[in-house]
Amino acid sequence: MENFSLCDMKKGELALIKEIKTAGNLRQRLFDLGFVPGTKVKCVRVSPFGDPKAFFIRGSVIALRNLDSKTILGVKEP
Amino acid sequence: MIIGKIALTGSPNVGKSTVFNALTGMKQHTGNWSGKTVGSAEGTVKNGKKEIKLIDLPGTYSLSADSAEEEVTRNFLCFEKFEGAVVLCDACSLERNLIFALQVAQLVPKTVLCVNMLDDARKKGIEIDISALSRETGLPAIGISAANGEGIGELKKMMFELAEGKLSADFKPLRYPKSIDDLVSAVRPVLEKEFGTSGVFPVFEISKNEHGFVAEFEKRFGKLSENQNLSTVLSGITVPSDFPDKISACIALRAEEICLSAVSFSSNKSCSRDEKIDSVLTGKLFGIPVMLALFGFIFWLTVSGANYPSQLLSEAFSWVGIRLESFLSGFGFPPMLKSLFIDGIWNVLSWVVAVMLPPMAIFFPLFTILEDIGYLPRVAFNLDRGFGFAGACGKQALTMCMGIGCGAVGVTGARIIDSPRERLIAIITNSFMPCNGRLPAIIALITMFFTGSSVLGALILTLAVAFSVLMTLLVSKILSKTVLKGVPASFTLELPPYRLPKFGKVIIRSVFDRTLKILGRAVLVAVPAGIIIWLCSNFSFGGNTIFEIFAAVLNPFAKLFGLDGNILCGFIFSLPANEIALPIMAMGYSGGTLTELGSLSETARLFSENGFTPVTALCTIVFFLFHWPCATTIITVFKETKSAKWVFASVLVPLLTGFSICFIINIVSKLFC
Repeated sequence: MENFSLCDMKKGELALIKEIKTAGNLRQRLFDLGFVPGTKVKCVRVSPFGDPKAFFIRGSVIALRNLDSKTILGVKEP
Repeated sequence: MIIGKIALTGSPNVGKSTVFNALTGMKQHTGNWSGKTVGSAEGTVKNGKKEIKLIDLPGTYSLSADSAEEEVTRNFLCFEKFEGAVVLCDACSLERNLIFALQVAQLVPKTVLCVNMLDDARKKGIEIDISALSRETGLPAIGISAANGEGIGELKKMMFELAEGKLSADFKPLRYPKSIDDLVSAVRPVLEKEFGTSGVFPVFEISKNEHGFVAEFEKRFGKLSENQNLSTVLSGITVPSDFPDKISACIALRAEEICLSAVSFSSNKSCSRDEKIDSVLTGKLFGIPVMLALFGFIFWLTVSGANYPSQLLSEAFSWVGIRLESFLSGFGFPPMLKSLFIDGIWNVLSWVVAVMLPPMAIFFPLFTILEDIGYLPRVAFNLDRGFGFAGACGKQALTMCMGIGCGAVGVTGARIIDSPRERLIAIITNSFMPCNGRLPAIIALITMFFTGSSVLGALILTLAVAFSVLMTLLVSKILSKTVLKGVPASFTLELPPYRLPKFGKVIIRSVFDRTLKILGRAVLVAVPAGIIIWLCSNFSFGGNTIFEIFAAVLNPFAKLFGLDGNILCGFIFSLPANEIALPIMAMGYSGGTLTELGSLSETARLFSENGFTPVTALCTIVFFLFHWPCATTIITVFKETKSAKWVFASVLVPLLTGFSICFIINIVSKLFC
């Protein structure tokens, strides 16, 4: 199956997180928010300017800038 | 008698302040967005003669990432002595909250899980099985709805049992891959024996060689490398490179597992409700216009609602003033002292109360409602692109919103921004947002010189604030290209579920806790300021009063910027509190002798007679938006940055901005008029 970045998701799309390539402080922060491989994630909001986007994950809605969500890879939820 | 100390922790936005207030009877401010509580507060929970000291730790998502609040929480939990911890979780997003709870429980074995907002969750079709939660984790658990006071009594009882050691907590340790388990079982006994620490967490942090933690650890326990036993153990094991990832994944998966047996969903109603609301409020088409309209509406309510009570108050004050005067005359008060009391103190005081109180009393509750509903993070979400462009953090939108309430609060609130560079940008530009000391003054100027219509007035005010936002972005951009060079750091922003605020509570809280507090400060300043201004306008050298001399010296300079010496004097004298700027200007114009200062039309006439034109009014409004922060805010900037350089910058940057814009307005108006 083809990988894509979370920043390319459209509103309403679902994905399964495959890999976190994020570096630095954000990496740990993402893990703590529950962005770990195997997690289901849904893109639920897109800001008026297209960036940031917000994702529903493990019961809460978290907004990430596209620059950051680019480093999170997912696959289409079957 | 104090029987113990208990820490209250939890992720941001789980209602920690509400629970803290309910337990201690204190009145800490709450709001529906992350980072509302930035410092740690202490309170006492009473049960008969017994007392527990409750420490409210700042809300954090984890113990491991580095931000100022997280450090406070982590250091307390790791190094302070206390009887136990209560981890507060939001029932609506229990899974995410459990990730943090499990981290805490690995560190503090005596932890109580407290699931808050059960009622909200029930409305959303989410059922939490508290006993299953307790069984799965091995921790004592309790479900509450703090906003209604539901379950607070039981929580209190549990906390006393915890403090007295009567509550059994038997935390089920997490299962890690063998490589991690081996490491823990090798290092943990040494750490416990040599340093007296407990829990798994320090083992992880030290093995990862996490700098902040190791430094803090060594500060308290001495150099790690000098400990022979620890060095031997550490050199004998290899830390896998994906160590932190593996730990995090284990914790997240364990949280998921627990939720599978403790949480059931009957429907997904309100998730989609929030999504529908947000598709308008953060939508491509309506997001920005609705935001402008919403703020415009609030400003309109403030402007139109404040008119009448303002007038009533000023009439009441002048009625009392006249009686007071004749009363003082009857006593044979020396005319000099009488004038000081009536023209100086009483007039400034009545101006501050009559003009400032009504807008504040309307604006604060409305703004608090926005805050409690959870709209502010949406503002940050909508505007983040702009802040990204400016090289700043989207959370700056939140600190700016706080700045509309009070500049000092906005500066302290900048702690929610993790990157020091972006935090400084937010602090330096914070005074661009008109605080509640300046907002009524700007409203007064608009009403006096531009329009009597409250709709138009609100529109002008909205434009003025929107202009301030644009200038904030522009100046932030300039700062991040010059003195605060750097690229925007990454951040995460939680969009909390919308919540219906408790209207009665909001009004009482915002009027008594915020409005009266700020007004009280203004009144405190108004009295001595009234005396000083009166002295300055009644003592003269060579035929001119001190105030006149001062204003005359400043006049040529002020004229360059479309102001006059008197106006600039007003700004300078109102350094302690912006609320008194307009009355000082009025005093200056009237030579300190006027008795009818209260009403706006009188003030407008007085200003016009002294050469105040609409252009002057415009420049004065701009200067109100951009000059220097009030004394309280300046002190707060110093407390937050610990640097005279940045204090200087936070005074100079808005001042230069204000001077530049006023200069341009002045030149342009000269060309056209």
